Amino acid sequence: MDLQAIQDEALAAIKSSGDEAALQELRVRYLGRKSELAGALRGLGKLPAAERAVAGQATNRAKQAVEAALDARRDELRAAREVGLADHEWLDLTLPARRPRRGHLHPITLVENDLEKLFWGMGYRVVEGPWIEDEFHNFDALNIPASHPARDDWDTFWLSDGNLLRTHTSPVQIRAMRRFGAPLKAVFPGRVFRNESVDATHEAVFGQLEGLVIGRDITPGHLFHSINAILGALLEEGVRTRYRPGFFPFTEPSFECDIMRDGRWLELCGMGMVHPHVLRAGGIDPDEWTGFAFGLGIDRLAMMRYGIDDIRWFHSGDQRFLEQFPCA
Amino acid sequence: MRLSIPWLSQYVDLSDLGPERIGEAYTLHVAEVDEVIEPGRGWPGVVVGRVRNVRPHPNADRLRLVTVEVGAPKDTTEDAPEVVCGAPNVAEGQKICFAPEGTVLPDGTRLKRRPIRGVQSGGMVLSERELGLSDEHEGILVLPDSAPVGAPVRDVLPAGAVLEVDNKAITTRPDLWGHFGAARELAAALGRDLKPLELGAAFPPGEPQLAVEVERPDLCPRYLGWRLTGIEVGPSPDWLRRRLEEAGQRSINNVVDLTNFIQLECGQPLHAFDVRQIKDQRIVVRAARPDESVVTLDGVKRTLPEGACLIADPERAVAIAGVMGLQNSEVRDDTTEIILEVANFEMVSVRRTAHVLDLRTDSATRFSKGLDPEGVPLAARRFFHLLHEVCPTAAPIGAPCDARVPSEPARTISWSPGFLGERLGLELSAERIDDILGRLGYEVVRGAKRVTVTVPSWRRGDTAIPEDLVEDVGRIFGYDKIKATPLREPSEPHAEEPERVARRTVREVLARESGLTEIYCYPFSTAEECGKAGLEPSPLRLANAEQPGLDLMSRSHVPAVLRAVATGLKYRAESALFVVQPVFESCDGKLPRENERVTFALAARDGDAAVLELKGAVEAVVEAFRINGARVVQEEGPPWLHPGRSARVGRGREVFGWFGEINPRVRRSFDIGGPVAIADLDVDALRKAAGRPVRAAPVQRYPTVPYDVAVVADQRTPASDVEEALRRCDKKLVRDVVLFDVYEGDKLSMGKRSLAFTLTFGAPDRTLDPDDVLRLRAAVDKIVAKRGWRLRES
Repeated sequence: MDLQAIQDEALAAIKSSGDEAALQELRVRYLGRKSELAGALRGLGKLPAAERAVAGQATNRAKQAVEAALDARRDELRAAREVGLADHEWLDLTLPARRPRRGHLHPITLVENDLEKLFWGMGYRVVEGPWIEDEFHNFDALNIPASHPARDDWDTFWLSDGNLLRTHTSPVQIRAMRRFGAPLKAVFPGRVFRNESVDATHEAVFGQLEGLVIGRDITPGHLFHSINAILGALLEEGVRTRYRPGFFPFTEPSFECDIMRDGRWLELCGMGMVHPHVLRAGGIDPDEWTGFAFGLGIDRLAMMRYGIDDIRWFHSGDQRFLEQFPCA
Repeated sequence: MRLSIPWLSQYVDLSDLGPERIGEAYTLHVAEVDEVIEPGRGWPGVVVGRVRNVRPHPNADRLRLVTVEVGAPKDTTEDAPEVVCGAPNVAEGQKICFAPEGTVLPDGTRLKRRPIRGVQSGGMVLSERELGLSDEHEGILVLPDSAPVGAPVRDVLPAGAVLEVDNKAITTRPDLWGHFGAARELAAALGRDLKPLELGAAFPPGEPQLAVEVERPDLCPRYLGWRLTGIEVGPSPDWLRRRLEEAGQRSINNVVDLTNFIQLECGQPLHAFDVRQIKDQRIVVRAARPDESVVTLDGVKRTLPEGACLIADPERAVAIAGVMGLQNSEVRDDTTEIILEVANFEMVSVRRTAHVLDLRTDSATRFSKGLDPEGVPLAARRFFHLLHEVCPTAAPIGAPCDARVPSEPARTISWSPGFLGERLGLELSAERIDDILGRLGYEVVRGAKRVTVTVPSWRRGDTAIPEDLVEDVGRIFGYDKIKATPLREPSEPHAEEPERVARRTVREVLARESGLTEIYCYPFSTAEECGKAGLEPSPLRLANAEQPGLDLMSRSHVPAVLRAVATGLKYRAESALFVVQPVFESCDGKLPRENERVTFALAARDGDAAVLELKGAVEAVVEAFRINGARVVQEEGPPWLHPGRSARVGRGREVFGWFGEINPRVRRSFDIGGPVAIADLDVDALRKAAGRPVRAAPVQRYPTVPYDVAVVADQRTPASDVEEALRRCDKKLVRDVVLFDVYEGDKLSMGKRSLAFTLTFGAPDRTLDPDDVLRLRAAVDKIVAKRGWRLRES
């Protein structure tokens, strides 16, 4: 076929092509390595030198014409498509999103994480202890001997091996004092256990966070300041607090902290100055060091924060409850 | 503990303070007041009514129609309101508390006329609870016959306000279990005078006319018995009835009421025996014999715990010491002579007996706090002083018999001046300190270098060290006067505890990356549940759990997770859960071993896909610990896993855990219909195997060559074996091996499958030449042939 015929055929095909994919096929057919034009260009070398220039120019012209036609048709097709773009490529974005499965952290984990961050920022270590404790760490070291009337206040799960499920996070105080010595600034979050009947406000298993600061010349004023700062960060800036007598065997004096909520005082947490007996049990000399300790109920804080009305949800394992919470 | 404000006012002037203010002072300086109850406040409009007649309700068996007279008895039935009443004890002729229409009840609701099961009710007959007097709501409150019809109820009932004190706040303070002790504290807090208890005459001289023999002074450090005659048992005078009612108790008769009054006033329980029932007027305090049983005042036969302390005569028991009297010796209407018991019993023994018998009486509660032996004669004298008022003919026969162990020497505590103020961070003058301590009953002696106090006998139980005085002075002075002060301790950075970092890592990977929901589990299980999951029950048992189902400490989270999955699948198509917390194993150490484990499960419609998705989560956890060389090996594992769908995760001999699909039998026993993918990993082991932080390697800079092969092998040949073999063709130049297709079917012979991989060839330091590629292909051919596989032609 001569060049003109090839070019005519190509231009006609290009003109009638309907989309870019068809155009791409034509580009391969007329300009690709196996095309006649490419063959003609390769064959130039075999021509006598005199004809070579003329034939070369003609072939290149044909090639350029086809290329120009291809580009022009491509632009034409694209322009045509853009005119009706909204229509051709309409996609319903109100269809449900496709997301990977979403995970959820337990609300108590979330509160505990926030507490950890808060205390970490204030220079407290975050230390844990065992869930199963011995009588010494849970009671005796904390100034609660077997004869103490207050022993009955802790409804204790005893184990067949004579150990017990810790009734509070306080035994970690003793472990931490022995491990780190004085001075010390630490919090002990974790789960604790009470052998009592369960209802909307009482659980057999719940979360506590105990704080301990030991230093020189520490007074209740330091304790009140720390608690005010912590509650300010945790609840709301400038939350009103009051401190009144409390009774705990492991602190002397002991205090209860109330916060003002909806015009009423609400009991929030217990605390006090570490009892000398407890310091000694932790290997710290009470003549040289003083300190304070406080306890927060993590479940209570989580219930306040998320408006949860029944403490039993936390250990229900019910995904309908848990999937309301974020994963971070 | 209920404290009546009119009663407290006997000892300290409170006339200018409202109940709320008094309650606040008690809370801020002494012990928490749970509630300030002002019964009279809710009673405007409540009047005394008389029940004229009672008829059945036409539409309800348990309700009745009651006509109440509130005016003159000449009222016709039409004028007298008719109300619907559900109380079982309502009867004709009773005087009752009536709230007519329009009355605002203590809880703030306004009574309206309304139909109850079809009959209009024009008011309400009130119970004690509705009046705010007590929790009693079984029936209506019946007033004495003398109550005048139509009179306001507040003129008839004790309307004094009451402080309800939190019992846990006064566990170590036996003195606060009586009104006088409470008044002492209030007087100190308010800076007011405390009127002393009137004790009347000293004990009469002469020989006691009874014998007291204490066999077990360890259980009974002091026993005072006193014979009193001329007793006329009868109703109590109004003042005594009223005091008991204010404190929430009912009047029985003058003698019993007075013993109860002293208990509520001084905190010291008393008991009265009818002398006729005490053989030879001889009191023996002894331990219960094995299987000894008695009938207590409430008419119940009880078998005593061995060693419980008993009051007996030479022949039989007459009281369970400190807990309850027995029916055989109680004061009766015809009693004329009594033996008064004022004693001190050992607290742990009383507590134990009351606990075993489940008989937590007011008396046992007080003895359990450790009472003051020195309070015994005071209570006896106070009783006799008041007995004259309620029974003027009463007279002692001889002196009391007071059997006791020698009294403890007075306890003194001393400190250097300035100590209390320093510990409180307060400027406190010596005068102020001495004033507070004096009001609380301490005797203060100031020396040049030491301040010394003698502890009052009633505070010996809770006061032993100077810090105890810091508390007493601080709380009476007022904790609100302590200024909040920032800590001066410098804050130093600390390394995080690795256990917490590990748990946080697991939580982040599973919740954030793998989309699982965290659950918390009770760390308990039962033998039955362990059996269902094919686990050996733990030997570590709970010895005294009150709730059913709490038997054993968990040694695996698998049962708890399956339980949660079963619940979740009731409401959702999928369940994707994890728990990370310890399990427990007995061990030789003093404490059981706590092993932090993470167990997670995925129950979805496509079970096979779920197992592989779960495997992704397993890999993500292992990767997060940067463990080099961790491998998954398919093999039969723990009994809760499906034997053909079970794999171990580990490195060499270390086992990090198992995953796969739950055994169908186990799943059915947990009532789960479809397949569940499950994994259980040892977080402690992962943490200990954790590698160092990531080190960056250079990215591949020279071109790579892809090469696809399909390897035909036995169906049961693990894909991981083939992949591993291909990788080993040339550890340096085979940069990656990725499975992209698995084929089983007609085109292959039975029992075979084809695994298609894309291999990536490349060198870190140069461009591969064609000879390298040929050599690598040959290596692939060789290894495939060597393992008995073959390459599938495309």
